[in-house]
Amino acid sequence: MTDPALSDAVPIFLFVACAIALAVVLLVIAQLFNPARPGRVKRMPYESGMDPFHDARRRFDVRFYLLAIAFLVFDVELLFLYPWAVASHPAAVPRAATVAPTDITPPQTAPAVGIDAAVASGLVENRTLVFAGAMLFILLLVLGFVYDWRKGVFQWR
Amino acid sequence: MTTAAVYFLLPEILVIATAVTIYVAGAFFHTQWGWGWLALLGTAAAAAVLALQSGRSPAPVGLLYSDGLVAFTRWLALNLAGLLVLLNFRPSADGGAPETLGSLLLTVAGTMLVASSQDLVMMFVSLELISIPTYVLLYLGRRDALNQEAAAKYFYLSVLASAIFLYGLSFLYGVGRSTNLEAIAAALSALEQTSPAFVSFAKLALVLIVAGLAFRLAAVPFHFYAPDVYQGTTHANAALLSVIPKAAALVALLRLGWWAMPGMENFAWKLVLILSLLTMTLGNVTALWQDHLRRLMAYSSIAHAGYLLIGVAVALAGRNASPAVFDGWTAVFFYLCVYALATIGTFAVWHYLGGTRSVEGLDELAGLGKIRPTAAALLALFLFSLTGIPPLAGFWGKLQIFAAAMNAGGGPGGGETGLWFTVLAVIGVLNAAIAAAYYLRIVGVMYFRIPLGAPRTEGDRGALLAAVACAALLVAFSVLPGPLVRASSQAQPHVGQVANLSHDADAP
Repeated sequence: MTDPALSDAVPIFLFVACAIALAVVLLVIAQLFNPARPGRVKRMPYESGMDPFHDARRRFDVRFYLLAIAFLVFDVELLFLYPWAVASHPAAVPRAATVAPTDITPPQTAPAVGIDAAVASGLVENRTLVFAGAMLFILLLVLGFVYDWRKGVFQWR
Repeated sequence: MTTAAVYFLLPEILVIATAVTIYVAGAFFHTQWGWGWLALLGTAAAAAVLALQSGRSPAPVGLLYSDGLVAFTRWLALNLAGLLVLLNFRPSADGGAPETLGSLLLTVAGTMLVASSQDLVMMFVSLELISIPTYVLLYLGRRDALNQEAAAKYFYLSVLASAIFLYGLSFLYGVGRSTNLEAIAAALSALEQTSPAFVSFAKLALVLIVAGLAFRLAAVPFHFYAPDVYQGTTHANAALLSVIPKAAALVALLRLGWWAMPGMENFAWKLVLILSLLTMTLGNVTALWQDHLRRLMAYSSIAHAGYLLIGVAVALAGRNASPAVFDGWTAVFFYLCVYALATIGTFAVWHYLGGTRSVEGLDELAGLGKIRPTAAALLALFLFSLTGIPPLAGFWGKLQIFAAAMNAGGGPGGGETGLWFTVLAVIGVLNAAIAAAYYLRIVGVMYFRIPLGAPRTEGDRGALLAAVACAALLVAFSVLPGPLVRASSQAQPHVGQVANLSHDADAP
């Protein structure tokens, strides 16, 4: 290990060796220790909980492809909109509601979370900008939807 | 996200808004004509906003840079957009004009965004904003088996290259513990002292990043898609492919390898230097055998990627030296501009010559000097510039690249580094001589052979206008290279950088 270039590369070789070793060891352990009790249900191909009703290696109509792409866009849209919805919820509202009117302790200012925290730390300027960004995102998707519709993606021709 | 950032990104927003308008309006109005005007209008509006912004450029926070590299890349991209829109002005017989122009504008917006990305995620998304519309463009180009092959080949290999690039970014994130480039640079500088063994992962990241970007540059060993893809698509698409992804990859390579990874330069320049040697030699030697015009230009574009990488290697090696001695940056961006003008011009002339069917083989150009003297003269000008014959701008570009390499060589007392760069410069010059053979062969076919057939049908005026504009700019930069040299010398991250120079205080 006198060559500096070689000793530089040692962590990389270690990393690769570990990655391969981990995969092999996990497979071997599973093979050695798993109880082998195969059944009809266990041998079934996994289809997210649905019972497969025919062989998967079958020809699909190519028209499903366009629908799948259109679906994927709106699937990903949800992925973005959920975090936005959660983050834009001002967490101080439910806490303020629980405070009884007779309580003499001053209402504690709740620590800002989500978008409020981002605004407080100066990461974004104000809530309106975030709202505008989300609306723009939805608008772009709607425009894509309009394009799909005009191009006849939703017609089963 | 602030209103300042929105204002800063207004040129990109205008370009993307134009693209979206063209897409959606194209779905409602079934005309193929007039979309080029809309695209030109959007580009001009973006250029106007950019001109208004210059001088009092804001200092956006978070995800964006606003330095000299950004300004130069944005202007370059918008100018290329104008030329490429002209080239695509006349709709092709197969239709799809709105989609073609919209996708073209999106690639331009992606190129503009690559330069200002200060975050690994944003840089990746910007590069994908170039790739994904390119797949659509390649598919729209023509409807035959060769084109299908080109589109599929480019798609799969581009996805693979993106995956490799992303894998490199993941290692960079692991070493730098942040996706922000400034934070990564600071972490890497600190890592040099604390745990040098960990730095080897940064080297791994660099190798993977260079590999991913080498695909877009069409550098060896990721060049092999280029000839088939160029041959299978149209002249207009080939022009886009040989310019836009190259410019974006160069900017990303310099931003990541030079700016965001301090301490890596001694490893990086060796890697880039070897790639450069292989790329220009293979590109030039293989181009000698080609008879198909776009295939020949594909190898030519590989060879020019090699020349550009010489400048990148010099810039990387000169990271800790004084800027007067090592000026790889200026050479790279000057060469890129000149190469882009000559290449787009060449494709524009061929696009113009082709009527209902396009000009494909070298023989089809026989006797062009007699049939169409103007087109032949323009083409000869572009080819002479690509060869690097003085006093054309291509010569100034090559002169700067080789002079930068010789400077980095440092003469007899340059040591091992100096020897490498001297060898690089010598091989570069030899390559330029080899390249003359195939460029001048085209000129010879045009002027010294008897015409094989009747004059071809008249092409479109947009392509002719693009060719004339390229020629005018090329002649202007040949006579007066000064302004472009000055502009290129401003295309550096430390020019006009407003804040956060902490990690780079010792560099030029």
